[in-house]
Amino acid sequence: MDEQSDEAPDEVLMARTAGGDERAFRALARRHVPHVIALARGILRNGADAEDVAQEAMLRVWTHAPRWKPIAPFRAWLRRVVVNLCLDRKRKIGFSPLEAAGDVVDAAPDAAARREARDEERQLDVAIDRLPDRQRAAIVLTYHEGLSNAQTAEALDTTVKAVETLLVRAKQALREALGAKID
Amino acid sequence: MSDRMDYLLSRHFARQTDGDDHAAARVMTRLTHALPRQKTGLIGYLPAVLLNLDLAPAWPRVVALAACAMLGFFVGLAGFDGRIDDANARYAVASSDLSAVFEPETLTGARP
Repeated sequence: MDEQSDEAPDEVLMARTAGGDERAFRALARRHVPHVIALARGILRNGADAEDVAQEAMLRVWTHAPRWKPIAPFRAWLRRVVVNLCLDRKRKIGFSPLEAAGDVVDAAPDAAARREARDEERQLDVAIDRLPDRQRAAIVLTYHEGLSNAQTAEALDTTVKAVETLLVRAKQALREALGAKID
Repeated sequence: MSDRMDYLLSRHFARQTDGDDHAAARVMTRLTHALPRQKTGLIGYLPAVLLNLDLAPAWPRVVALAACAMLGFFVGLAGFDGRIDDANARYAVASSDLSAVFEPETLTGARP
């Protein structure tokens, strides 16, 4: 049964979840939780908050399953739920501590180049953290999720034009933050 | 310049793998606790409530009731002594007699 659940498409699992099938729900959660955490962490910049959002998002999947209509892919719907939860959370919290950036491994042959690349990464990480929430969400959805502008607009519940503006402003802010390194 | 920024952002996010296994495991553990009740619309919720109250509809009786209601409607429309398809015809005759009812008096010309 569990093997069948693991192989079933999202929409089938969602239909079974709508009928109160907890095993189908857990299969759905197993499949999507890692990705949901990564997306939430990209927007929230905080691991603990990302886990909370992932839990809340999956609970919404469970509670809203009977009302869910398969008019859009499940993943797109879940992404929208996660983005909304992240933006709501940022709005409520206002500030969350910056997570320490992990060690960056660079293939550069010499230590100086590696160090420079690491510094650049850290600066970029801090600069992304300082972006306004919606600009950061647009950057994460575009560069981390690899979404098109139209898909990003759908996830942010806005227009393609607005997404283009968000991306332009975000990149402008990042360029200014990185200063000479980017030139 | 924009290409360089695109490159940096792509490289930055390419290094961020999906949430680590421990984080995912923690969330899955939290999800194993009792799940909240699912939200269903009133139509989905009502049958369960009726069943809980032993008020489940007995469909043969519902059909019999509907049939009686339908019969009552047609009898009311046509009466016991007329055919249903005659009902319209009788109304048509009645409407054609209206001129006679409102015919002016021959001497005074007054209408009733």
